[in-house]
Amino acid sequence: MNNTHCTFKRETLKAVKSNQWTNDLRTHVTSCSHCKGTIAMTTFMQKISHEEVPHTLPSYRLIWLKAQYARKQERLSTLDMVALIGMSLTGIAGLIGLLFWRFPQFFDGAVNATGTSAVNWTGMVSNGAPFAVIVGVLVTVWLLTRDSYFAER
Amino acid sequence: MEESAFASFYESTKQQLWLYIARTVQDHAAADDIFQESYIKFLQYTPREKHELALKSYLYRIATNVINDHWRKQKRTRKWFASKTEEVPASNNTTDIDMRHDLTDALQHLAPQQRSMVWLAYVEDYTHKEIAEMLKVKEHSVKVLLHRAKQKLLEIFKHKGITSEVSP
Repeated sequence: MNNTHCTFKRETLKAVKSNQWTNDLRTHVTSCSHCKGTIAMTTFMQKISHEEVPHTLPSYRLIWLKAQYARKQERLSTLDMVALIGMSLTGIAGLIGLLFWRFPQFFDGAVNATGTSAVNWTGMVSNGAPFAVIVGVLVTVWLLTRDSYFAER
Repeated sequence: MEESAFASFYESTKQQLWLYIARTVQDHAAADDIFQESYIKFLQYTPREKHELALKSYLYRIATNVINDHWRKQKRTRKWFASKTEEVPASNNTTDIDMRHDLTDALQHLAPQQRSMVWLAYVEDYTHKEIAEMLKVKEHSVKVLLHRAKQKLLEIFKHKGITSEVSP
């Protein structure tokens, strides 16, 4: 025992709750001010812990449904972030693809200006690549946002 | 966690958890909100641990965190941790309801953290180590703060004329 705590505290606490006292504990308690305090505290706290809740608590079903909803919302917010990044990246890629397709001479000019025209850019984009990019953008947007779309309905 | 498992866990813990929250925050409306939020967070982040005692401890840990968040929000507008120095009126009430009221009232003279500690220690039987983990304080601090809370409450009880009928 020290000045703030007695080693018999837990035993005393259990004994008060179960009303089962050993002779040793009974002898100890009569001479220990800490344990006397523990007995009083446990008794008082027992009284207020056995009170009735003043109103009906929500059913488990309500809590369960709210938790499912919260979980889905959390998942969607993560998904929304991924969708946003994905959409931005694919949108930029689509735009660049479109520019390649419609204005190949612009890139030719740009590449020639920097003196690095080793790659045949116009050849790469002239065989349907821009169409594929646009379809890719639309499919990606659909895949990333369908959960949000259905969750709202 | 399966729905049926949660249903039985909820039924076995709801009353005590609500009382713990209500006694700590001393506000029934806030207690209702904290109560629901605690279970929702519990379900969102349920650990793999299947043992009911461990789950209960986890639930109390979440509830304690939600209570702390509640105090932090309250603290922005009011000084909740200001010590109360008003005199406790002496009373000779002996009926059970009056006594409960006095006991509940006495808890208000403790800081919120001490209320949590007292409840977790004397009602839920958690060890100092477990309480320290829940409240994110040192184990030694729990010992000291609990001791002070006990002394303060016993003094108030004595002043109000409340005595324990239990004798070993």
